[in-house]
This record gives sequence, C-alpha cells and structure tokens, in this order.
Amino acid sequence: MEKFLRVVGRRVPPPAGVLPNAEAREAMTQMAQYFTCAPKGVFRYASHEQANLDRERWQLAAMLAKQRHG
Amino acid sequence: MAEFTRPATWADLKRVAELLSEAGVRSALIGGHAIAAHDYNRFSEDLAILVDPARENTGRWIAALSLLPDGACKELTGQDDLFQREGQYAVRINDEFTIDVHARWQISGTAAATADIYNASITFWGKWGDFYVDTQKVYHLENLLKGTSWAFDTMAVGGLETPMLTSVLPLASFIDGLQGASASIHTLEPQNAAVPSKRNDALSVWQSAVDLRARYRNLAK
Repeated sequence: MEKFLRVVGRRVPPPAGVLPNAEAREAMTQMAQYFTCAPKGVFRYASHEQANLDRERWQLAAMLAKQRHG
Repeated sequence: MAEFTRPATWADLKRVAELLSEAGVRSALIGGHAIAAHDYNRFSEDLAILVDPARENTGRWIAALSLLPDGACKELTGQDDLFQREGQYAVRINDEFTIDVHARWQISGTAAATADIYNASITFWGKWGDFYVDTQKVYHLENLLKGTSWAFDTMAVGGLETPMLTSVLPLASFIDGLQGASASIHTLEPQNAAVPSKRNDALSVWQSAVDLRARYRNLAK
C-alpha cells in the first residue's frame, strides 16, 4: 500500500447515487456517434496541464474538421 | 480499424467496470461519468479512473484494459512500475474510446487527491492545509456493477444479489426502455394502489421483471 507523507482527512465515499436512467443513457449514446480527432495509442502525462493540452488540441482539430468537412 | 477514437458510452463504462472488477483492480471512477453517476448528466467523451499506483495494481489494470477491442493497452504490458519509474501523472489509453488512468488527480487546481481504495475510502490532501473536495466526482466502479439501475448486468457478472422490488422496475426499464416503469414504482405501495391503471401498469412491469429475473437465473446456472 502506498505510504502518504501526510494525510489530513479521511472521507467515506458518498452513498451510491442514482445512475442516469435509460433515457439519459440513450441520449448520451446518441450524442457519441462520431469520431474524435484523438489518435489511437497510449499517451503518458506528467501533469494535469499536459493531459489537458493534448485533449484541447484534439478538440480543436475536431472543430476545424467539422467546419471544413461538415 | 479506425484511426481515431469515438466518445465513450455508458455501455463502454460498464464493460470497463467489469474488466477492472474481474481483475481485482483498486480503482475509482472520476470525471464526467462519475458526476453522471450522481444523477447530474453532462456529456463527456472520455472515461477517467483513479487507480492505486502500486505495481501489482498497475499490472492488473494494464492486463484488464488490454482486453478492450483495439488492444492499445498491450503496449504497456510488463510496465507494472509505470508510475514509480517515471512519476507519471496519468496515462491515456486511446483504444476504441479514451480511458484516462490517473495515479493522482488534480481537482480544480486547488487540491490533489489519490485513491486509498483498500478500505473503500478516498484520501485527499490540499495545498493549503484545509481543503474542500467535491466527493461527488468520485464514484466507486464497484458501485456501478451493484447499482440498482444495472441489475440486469450484475446478474450477468454473476454472484451478486438479485435486485429488490424497487430495483427490479428500473431493470425492466433498462431492458425495454419503458420510461413509464420508474414513474410507476410508487404505485406498488399500498397507499398508492387507488390508482388502478397505474397500478396495473406497474404490476405488469413487475411481472415482466420477475420473469426476466427467473430467465437470467436459469441462464446463470
């Protein structure tokens, strides 16, 4: 088990929430019927900023592709 | 094989939860889908999980996620010391869809978090001594498999308790897309039985659910 240098609090996870109903899940699935511009493979990041940078770059590429090709 | 990913769906999340659970991975769901698991839906293209960065746990999730359709994660096979060796913050697996695997998690730029899944608790620490963390953004993947709305799937996974009355109705709702089912749940309460039509609807759905449950019980044998 990983040893933490300092633990200032322990919180019990909240009780299980209400999962999206079938309608909401279907809506989310319908919205997911496209390809992103995120290339397949494995990417490693040393920071949150790095991870976001790639994500934003791919999103921008997708937006441009959408504008150019509909 | 497509060159780019597609957005993850709830079916993908369920599959990932099953794979991680079957492999005994210590992990929690974070990000947009965790928020949605708390009944606040917003669209998110990726799945994000927080993992215990210990080597043996890393080996488990690498093996589990290698079973996804494109096998992108196979590239990490044998790299169980991934987080120890390079101190990485996160690894992004772009398979058919994206899974961000976080060893640490930065929240709103004010706090960092890491998982202590062993005793089903999450430990957080902040930069400034005191801290506030929106725990609603963390959701245990195990809960997805045990959650009432996924009763149909938990039976397929096997070994989990069959749903109680109030969770059987969403089961039918999930399978058949009967949106009225959830609205009819309360009509099964005796005090609501005065609404015959709704009560009959509810009983009909209830019977369907019972039949389905029996069917899948038999299949599981």
